[in-house]
Amino acid sequence: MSARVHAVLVARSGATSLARLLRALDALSAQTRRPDALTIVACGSSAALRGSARVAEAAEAVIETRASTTLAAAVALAQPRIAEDAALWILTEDCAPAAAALEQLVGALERSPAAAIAAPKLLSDVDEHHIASFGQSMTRLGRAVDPARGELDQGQHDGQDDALGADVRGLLVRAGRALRPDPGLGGRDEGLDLGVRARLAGGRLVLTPAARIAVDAGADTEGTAADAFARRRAQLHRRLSYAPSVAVPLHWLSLLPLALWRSIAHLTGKRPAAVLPEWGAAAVAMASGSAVSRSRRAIRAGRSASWSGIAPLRVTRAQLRQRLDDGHGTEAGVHEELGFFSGGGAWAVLAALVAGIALFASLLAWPALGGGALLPLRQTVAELWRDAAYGQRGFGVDVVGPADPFSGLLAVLGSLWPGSPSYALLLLWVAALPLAMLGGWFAATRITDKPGLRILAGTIWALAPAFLIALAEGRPAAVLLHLLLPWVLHTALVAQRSWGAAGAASLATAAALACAPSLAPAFVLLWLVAIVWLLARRSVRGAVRMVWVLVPAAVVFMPLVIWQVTHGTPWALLSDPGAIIAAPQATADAAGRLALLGGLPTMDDAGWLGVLGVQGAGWMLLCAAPLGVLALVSTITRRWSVGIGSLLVAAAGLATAFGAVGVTVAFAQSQAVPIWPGSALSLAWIGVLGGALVTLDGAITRPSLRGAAAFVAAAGVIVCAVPTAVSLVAGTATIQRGDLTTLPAYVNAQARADRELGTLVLSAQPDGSLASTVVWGASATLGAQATMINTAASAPGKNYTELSVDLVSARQFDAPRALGALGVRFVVLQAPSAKETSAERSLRLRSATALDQRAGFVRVGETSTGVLWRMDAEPVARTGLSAGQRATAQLVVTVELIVLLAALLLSIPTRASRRAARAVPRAVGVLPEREPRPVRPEREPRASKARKRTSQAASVVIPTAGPDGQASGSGASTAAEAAPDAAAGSASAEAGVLADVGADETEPASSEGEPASSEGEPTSSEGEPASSGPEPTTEDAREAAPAEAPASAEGPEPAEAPAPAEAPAPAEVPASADSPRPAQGTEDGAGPAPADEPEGVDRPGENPDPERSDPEQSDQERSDPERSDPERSDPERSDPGSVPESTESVHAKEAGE
Amino acid sequence: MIRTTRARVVATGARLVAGIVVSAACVAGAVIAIPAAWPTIAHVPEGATVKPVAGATRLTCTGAFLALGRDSSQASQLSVAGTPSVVSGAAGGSEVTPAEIGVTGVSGATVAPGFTAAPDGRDPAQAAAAQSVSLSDDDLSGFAASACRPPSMESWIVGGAGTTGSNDVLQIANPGAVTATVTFTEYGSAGGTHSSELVVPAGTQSSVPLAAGSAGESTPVVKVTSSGAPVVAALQSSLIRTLDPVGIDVQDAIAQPEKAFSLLGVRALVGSNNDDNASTAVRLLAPDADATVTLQPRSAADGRRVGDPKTVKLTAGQVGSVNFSALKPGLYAIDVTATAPVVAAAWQTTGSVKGSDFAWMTPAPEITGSTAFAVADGPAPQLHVQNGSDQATTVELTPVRGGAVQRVTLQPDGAATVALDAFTTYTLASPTPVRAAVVFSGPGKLAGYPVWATDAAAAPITVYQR
Repeated sequence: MSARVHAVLVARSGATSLARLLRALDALSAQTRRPDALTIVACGSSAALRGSARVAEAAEAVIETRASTTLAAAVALAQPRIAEDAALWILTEDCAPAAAALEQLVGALERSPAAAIAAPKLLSDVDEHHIASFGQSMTRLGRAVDPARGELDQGQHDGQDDALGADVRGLLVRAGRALRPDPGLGGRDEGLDLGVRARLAGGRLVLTPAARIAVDAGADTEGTAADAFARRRAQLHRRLSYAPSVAVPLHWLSLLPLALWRSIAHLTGKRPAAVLPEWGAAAVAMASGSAVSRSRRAIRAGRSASWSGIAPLRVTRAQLRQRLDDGHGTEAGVHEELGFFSGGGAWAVLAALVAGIALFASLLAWPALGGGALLPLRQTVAELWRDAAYGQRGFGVDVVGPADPFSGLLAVLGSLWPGSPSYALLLLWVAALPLAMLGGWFAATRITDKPGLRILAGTIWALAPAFLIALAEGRPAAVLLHLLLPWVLHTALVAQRSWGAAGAASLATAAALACAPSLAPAFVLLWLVAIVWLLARRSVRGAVRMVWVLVPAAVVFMPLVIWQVTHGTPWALLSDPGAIIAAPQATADAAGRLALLGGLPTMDDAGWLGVLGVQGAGWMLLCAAPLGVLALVSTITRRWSVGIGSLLVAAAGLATAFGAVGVTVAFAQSQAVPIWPGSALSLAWIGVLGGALVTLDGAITRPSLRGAAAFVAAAGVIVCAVPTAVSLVAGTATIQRGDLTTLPAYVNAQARADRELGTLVLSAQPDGSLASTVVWGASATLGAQATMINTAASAPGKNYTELSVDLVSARQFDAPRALGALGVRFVVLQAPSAKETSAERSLRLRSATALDQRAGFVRVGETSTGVLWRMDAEPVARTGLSAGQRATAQLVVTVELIVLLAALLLSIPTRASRRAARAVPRAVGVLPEREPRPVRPEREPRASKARKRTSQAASVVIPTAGPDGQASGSGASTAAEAAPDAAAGSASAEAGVLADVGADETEPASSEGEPASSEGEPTSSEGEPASSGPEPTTEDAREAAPAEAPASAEGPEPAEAPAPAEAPAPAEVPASADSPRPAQGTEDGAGPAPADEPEGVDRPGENPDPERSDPEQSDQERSDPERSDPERSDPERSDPGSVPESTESVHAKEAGE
Repeated sequence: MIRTTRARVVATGARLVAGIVVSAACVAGAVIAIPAAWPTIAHVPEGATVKPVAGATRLTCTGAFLALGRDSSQASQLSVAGTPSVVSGAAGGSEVTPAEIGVTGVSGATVAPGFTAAPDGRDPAQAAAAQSVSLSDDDLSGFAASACRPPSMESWIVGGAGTTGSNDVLQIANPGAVTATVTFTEYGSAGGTHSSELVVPAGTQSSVPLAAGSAGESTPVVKVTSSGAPVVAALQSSLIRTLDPVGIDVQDAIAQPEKAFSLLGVRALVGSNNDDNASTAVRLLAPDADATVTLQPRSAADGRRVGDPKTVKLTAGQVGSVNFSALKPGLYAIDVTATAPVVAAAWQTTGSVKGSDFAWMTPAPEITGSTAFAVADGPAPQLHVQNGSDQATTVELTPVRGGAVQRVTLQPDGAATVALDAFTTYTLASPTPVRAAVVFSGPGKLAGYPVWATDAAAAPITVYQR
C-alpha cells in the first residue's frame, strides 16, 4: 500500500441524491482497500448531507458549491485538500464501487509504472450484466466513441488494457501527475481528455477490468437536447485544444459553417432537436477562447510525447464499421407492400389519365387557360419567384407588402415548366383527374389495405363535385387544394410517428393552407385535437412533431398576418388567394347550406338543374347520402377512433363551408365576393370519404354486401359528377382558351423587350363606377395577385383615383406627365364584358372619347382586350424599395426559406426513416395499443429508475430485461408495471412492443450514424443498442413466453416453418391485434403469443440484416408478409371479441380467395 | 375469464354508445346548422367618389322644325317648316356664347342654335337654353318646346312611330371638333333589333327619318351610340290622322336606363274608359334583362298617389306600352320602378282631331343644389316639381336676370306646380334631391321637357382602385 488515495466524490443535489450518496458511501466503506481520505463536493444545497451522521463519519470534508458546477470544476475545488503524494480517485454520487474496485485500481497503477491513470469497468446499476463504459476512444475528427457501452458483459473486453481514455467516473489518477479534469469541456469527455493528456505527458491509461463500479448509465438523458449540446461542446473544445496552433483560427472560422452543415445533416437525419444545441455549442466554442487557451497551456506544459502516439489508439473507420451495423435500424416490424401496381392503383390512375385527356384534350392546343379565376402566369421563372417574395406587388403604385403564400405555390408549379410557366397550369388541368386519383388512393392507404376500396377512394375523390366544379369554373386555388389535401391527410395522420412524416405533413399543410386560408380555423382545430389526443396518450414526442406540422404554414403566413392585423382587417386573412371573381355560388341561407351539405358549392344542383330544368331539386342531396351514411356508421365500428376522427374532419370542413359563404372580405373591383366554399367542402369530402372507408373496410364484412355498399356510394357520386364533367367536353364550362397576357399584345411585346412597364387599366363597372389599377409587366398574372390588394377596402398604395377620373373627364392638364410620374406608359380601357349594362357602356364610351382627345395620348388601337393608348412621354422608372423595406423583405424571405428548408430536409426520406416507416402498419388505428409507441423511449428509463429506487433488489433480480434497461422482455407483471398502457399479460402484445422498440431504436442509432457520415467519417456509429437490442430481447421473450403463457406452446411458431401456408390465419389474430383490450391473446387460448415474433423480432434476430441474407431466405421472408399482410390488418379477422367468428371469417375469406 | 368477458362487453357497449352519440351529434349538428342564422362578415369596397373637373358647357338646340317630303318630287327631302324662338341665359358669373352648328341634308342653308359657357372656376357653368316653335300648317300644326342639351356618348329615344302618318326625324348634332360615328339600334314591340350607322362630321347636325330604321314600327325605341365624339340626339315628331295634322313635338333623349325614375309633367286631358283610346300612355323598354315594372301615377299638385299602380312585365329588348285611360284630366307624375333598368317616356295628347297637339315627356332626373333651366316661349308655362327624398324641402326659383324669388315647400314625397314666366331663364335650388319638368299647356298646344342638372355630364364617378 504505497500511495495514499484521496477520493473526491462529486454529489449532485436532487430528490434521491442523498440516498444514492449513502449507497456510494456504503460501497466505499465496504472496500477492501479503503481510500485514505474522502472529500465530498456537493453541487447544490448540502444541508441534507451535512445533517447526515453517516456522511460526517465518512467524509473528511464537504465542500458546497453551485448546482451547475461541472465535475472538473468540482474536483478543482477539492484540489487544495489533496495531498501532493495522494492519488486522486474521482467518484460521483451514483457510483457504487464493488468491494475490490479500489484495490484493483491501485494495483494497476503499481503494476504499471508508466500508467498515469487507472480506469475501472463501469457497469449499469440497473443491470450489472451490461457495461456502461469501459474505455473510450475518439475518431480521427475527435468524436468521442464509447465502444463497449451497452454491451452485455461477458468478459469480452477484459483482455484489453490500453485505451485512449475512459469515463471520468471511477478514474484513479496517480499522484504527482498534474492531471486534472478540464473544466473547459463543460462536463463531458473529461475522462477521454484526461487520457489523451496523460498520453501526451508520456504516461498511459490502463484499463482495469477487475475494478467494477456500478454507475447510472444515463440512458434517460441520452438523445436529449442538453446531451447533444454537451457532447458537441466538449468535442469542439477538444478540437480547439488539440489542434496545432496554426490551425486554431481555421477551426474557429469553420465552426459556423460546420454548424450549418451539421444542422442540415441533423434535419435530414430527422433529428431536429439536435439543431439548436449544435448552434449553441458552436457559439459557446467560439466564445470560450480563454478556456481553450488554458487547456492548450496545460497540454503544452506537461507534454513530452508527440501526437503520433495517440494515433494508434484512435478508433478507425474499419473498426467502427466492423463493430456496428450500418446505423439504419433493423427490418423489424410490419412488412407491408404498398401494392400500388399489384393492387390496381396504377391502373386506376391510368384510367383517370385517359379520362383527363379525353375531357381536356382540347386544352393542350391552347397557349394558356383563361376564364374564371384563371390568369396567365409570368413568362419567366425569375419573375414568378419575385412575385412570391415580400416586396413590390404586381399591381398598384407603390404597393409594397407580403406576397400570398399561394404565389409561392404557383412559382413552384410554374417552375415545373420553365419555358412557358402558364402552360404548367394547362398541364395541371389535364393531369388533375389522375393526380386526384393518385392522391385519393394514397390517402386511402392510411385507412384500408383493400385494393378495391383504395381505388374506390381514389375515384370518389377525383369525382368530388367541389373538385369538378372548380375545374369547370377555373378556380386554380381550389383545384390545387383538392390535389394537396389527400397528401396532407396521408402525412399528417402519421406525423406523430416520425419526423419525416411530420416534415412532409408540414409542407403539405402549408401548401394546402396557401390554397385556402379559409381552412385555417378548421386546420388549427384539428391540429389542437390531435395534440391533445397525443398528450392524453402521453406521447409527448408525437405531440411535438404534431406541433411542427403547422409551423411552416404559420411562418409563411406571418407577414400577411402582421400586415392585415396592423391594417385592422384580420378577417381578410381568410380571403381566397389568386384572382377574385364574382361567380354564382352557394348563398348564405338555408338553401345554400343545404346544397353545401350535399357537397355542392354551387346552387345549380351540380349542373342537373340545367339538364332537367327542375327548380330547387333537393334530391341532389341523395347523391352524397350513401357516402354520408357509411361515414356515420364508422363511429361504431371497431376502428371507432379513425371513424370519429373522420367525422370530426368532415364536420370541421362543413362548418367552414357554412361559415365561408357568409364571409365577404375580398373584392372583384367594385364587387364584394364571398369566400369560395368548395375548398372547405373538399375538406369535408375527405372526412366523409375516410369515414365511409372505415365502415366499408371494417364493419361490412360480407364481400357482397361491401361491394353493394361501395357501388351505391360510388354511383351517387358519379351521377352527381356527370353534368359537370360533360360541361368540360361540351364547352359550356367557364374555362376557355386564354392568352399569355391579359393586356394587348403590343404591351406584351414591349414589356418583354423592355424593362418593367406600367399599364393603367381602366374598366367601367356594371354600376357605372370606374375600376382602375396599374398592372406591372406584360400581363396581370395569377401569381401577382395579392390578397393584401384584393381585400383592401380602400385604394392600396399610392392613391391616384382623382387622376383616373380626370383622365376620363374634360379637365385639360398634362395627363401623360401625371401618368409618367406614376411610371405608367400605357392606358388600357377594357373591352366590354358580354353582359354590359347601360351605365357601364355609358362610362366606357365617355371615357374612350375623353382619352381619345387627350394630348400626348397616342391611340395604338382597339384590341379584343380593350382600347390601348401609349404615352408620348417617357415615364419615370418604377420606384424601388426603400432601405427599410429591402431589409424587411430580406428578413422575411430568409426566415421563410430557413423554415421551409428545414421542413423539406425533414421530409426527405432516408434509409433509416424508410425502414422505420416500414416497421409500422401503413394504416392508422389498426393497432390502437401501439399508438403511444413514440413515448416508449422516454418512459422506460423513468420506469426503470423508479424501480431501481424503490427496490434495489428488483434491479438485480430481473435478468431478462432488455439491454437498455427495458423491461419489455420480462414477466408480465414487470411489463405491466413499466408500461401500464401496454398490453399487459399478453405476450403477443409484448412482442409488438419489442418490435416497436426495435423500430424506435433506429433513431438513436441513426442519430449517431449521421453526423459521422456528415463529417466524412464512417457511416457506422456507436448505435450499439440498435444492433444488439433485438437479439437478447428476442431471447428473453422466448424465454418468457412459455413461462407466461403456456398455451403458446401450441402457437404457430413451429407450425409455420413446415406449413407456412396455413400458419398465418391463427397467427394473425394477435399480430394485428387491434383490440383495445390486450388480454385477448391469452384468453383466447389460441396462444399465438409469439406469433408475431417470427415476423417482427425473431427473424431479424436470426438474421440481423435481411438485405444480406441469402436469396432463399429473403424470398421466404418477402413472401411471408405478402401472404399475411392483407389479412393482418383485416380487422374482422383479428376481432378479439369473437375468435371463432374471426377464424370463421378467415376461412370464409380464404375460401373466397 | 368471466371477468374479462364482462369487461369486454362493457367496453364494447361503451364504444357503441359513444359512437352512436358522436354520429347522432353530427346529424343533429347539420340539421340545426342549416336553418340557423350564421354570423356573417361583410367588408364593403370603399370606392372614392370623385367629381370630374367640368369642361365648358355646350348646349345644342334642335333648331328649325323640319318637314319631310314637302317637295313632292323629293319625298325624302327635308325642308324648314318653322324657325324656333330660343331663350338662353346663365346664372352667376357665367356668360353664354352662341355657337351655331350647320345643319346638313336640309334644303336651304340653316343652322341650329347652340351655346357654350365656360366653366365657373372648377364648377360647370350654370347655363341653360330652350327653344319652342308653334306651327299651324296644313301638314304640321301644334306646339313644340324643348331644352337645348349637352352632348353625350349614348342616348335613348323613346317616342315617335314608323307608321303612316308619322313624319318623325331623328336629329343628331355633333357640336364637337372631331367626327362622330353614330350607331342606331332600333328596338320594336316585336323584339329584335336593327342597327345602322351614320357619320356626323364635326360641328354639324344630321337628320335621319325615323322610318328609315323603324318602318312600320308603331312603338320604336332607338338607342343612339356614338364613338369618336359625343352627340346630341333628339326626335322631332309630327302626326297626321287621316289628312289632319294632330300635333308636333320635339323630345329629348334619355341618358340611360334606370331602375327607378319619375316621368313628370304627364297631362291627362281626355278621360276615357277605353284603354285603346287613351290620351295618356307610357312606352317602356327593358333593353338588357326581363323586368317587372310598376307604374304609379301621382298628382302634380300635392304628390298624392292616384289610383292603383299598374304592373307590366317586359321581355328584354321588346318595347311595351301601358295606357292610362282612367286618369282624370290633370297634371300627373308617373313613378316607375323596375326590377331591371328600363327606359320610358310618356305620351299625351289633347285629342285626335285637327288642331290637337301631343307631347312626349321623358324621365326627369334628380337634381340637387343649384341648376339653371330655361323656360321657352309658350303658353302657360309651369314648373312641375316633385320631392325626390323623404324629407320636406324648400325649392327656390330665381330668374337669372333678376326678379322675385319663388319658394315652394315640398312635403316628403310631395309635389307642386309653379307658374313661371315664359322666355326666362331661372335657377332652381334645392338642398335635397327633387325632380322638375317645365310644361306648357294651351288650347291645342302641349309641350314640356324635364329639367336636367347642370352638371349631368360631370356626375361624380365612383372609382375602385386596386
